[in-house]
Amino acid sequence: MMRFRLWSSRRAADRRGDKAVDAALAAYFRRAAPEGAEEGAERVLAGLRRAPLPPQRRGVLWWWPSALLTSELSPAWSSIAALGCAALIGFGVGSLARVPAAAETHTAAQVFAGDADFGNAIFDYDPVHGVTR
Amino acid sequence: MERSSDEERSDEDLMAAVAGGDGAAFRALAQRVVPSSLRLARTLLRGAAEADAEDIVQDAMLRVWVNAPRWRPERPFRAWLYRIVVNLVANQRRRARPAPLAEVDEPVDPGRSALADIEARETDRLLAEAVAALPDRQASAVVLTYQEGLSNAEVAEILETTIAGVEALLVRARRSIRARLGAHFGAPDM
Repeated sequence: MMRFRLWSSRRAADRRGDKAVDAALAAYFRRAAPEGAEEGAERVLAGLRRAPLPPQRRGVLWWWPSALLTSELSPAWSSIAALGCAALIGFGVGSLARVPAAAETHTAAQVFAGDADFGNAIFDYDPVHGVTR
Repeated sequence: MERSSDEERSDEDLMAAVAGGDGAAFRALAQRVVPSSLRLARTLLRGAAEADAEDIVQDAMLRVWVNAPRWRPERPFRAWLYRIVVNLVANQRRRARPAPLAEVDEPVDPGRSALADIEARETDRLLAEAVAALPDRQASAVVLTYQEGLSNAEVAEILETTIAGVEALLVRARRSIRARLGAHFGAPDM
C-alpha cells in the first residue's frame, strides 16, 4: 500500500513536471523572436530574385517515380521497376534470338538454335553443338 | 499574376503553378514561406552563423523550384518544404562543429518587472541550452511542435516517422530537459 502511494505520488509529480516543461517550452518559443529575422528573410528573397532560376527537372526519369507514388504505388514501386526491367531484358533477348525464315536458309540444327528461347541458352550445355558450315 | 490574387491563393495552389514553371508564383510563395523557414533553420542550427541559415533556406527554395514538377499535390506544401530544411540543417550540422552553448540566442520579453525579467531570462537561457543539447531529431520535433505550432501528424510527415514516433521523441525531449533543469521542473524518475 505504501509502495503504491509512493509510486502514484511520483507519477503525479512526473505529470506535473511534464506539464511544466510543456508550458515553459511553449512560452519560450512564443517569446523567442530572433533579432534581424526580417532582414535575413529579405536577404534570402533578394538572392532568389537576383539569380536566374535554374531549369526544373521535367524529364520522364524525374517524374515517373513521383507519378507512381501519386498512384499509391509507393510500397511496391521498386518491385514494379524490377519487373519492368526483367520484362525489358526478356523482350530484348527474345528479339535478338529470333531468326526470320530460318527454315529456308539454315540446317535443322541452326533452326533449332535460332528458335531456342533464353532457357536453352542457359541450361543447354551447348545448343549449337555439331553445327558445321 | 496579380499580387492581390496571389495572396488569396493557398500554398498548394501556388505550388501547383510553380510546378508548371510559373516564376511569379514561385516568388509569391517564397515571400510567404521564407520567414518561417528561416526561423526554423536558425533555431535548428542552434547558434550557428546567420549566413548559414540564410544559405540553407535559399538552397531549400531552389530545390523546391527545381523539383516542383515532382511535388505531390495531396501532400501539404509546408511539410515538404520543412522536410527539406530539416534535412539540409542536419547535413550542415554533421559537417560543422556544434556552436558553443553560450552563443545560443536568448529571447527577450519586454514589459516585465525587473525581477520577473531576470528570472525569465535565466529560465530562457537554461531552456535554450537544454534544447540545444538535445539530439537532432528530438530538437527538430520540439522546434516544429512548439515554435512552428505543427500537429504531431505534420511533424511525423516532416521527420518521416509515425505519430507515435513523434510522441516518443517529445516525451524523451521533455525528460532530457527536466533532467537538465531539475531544480526548475523536478527531475524525472529515469
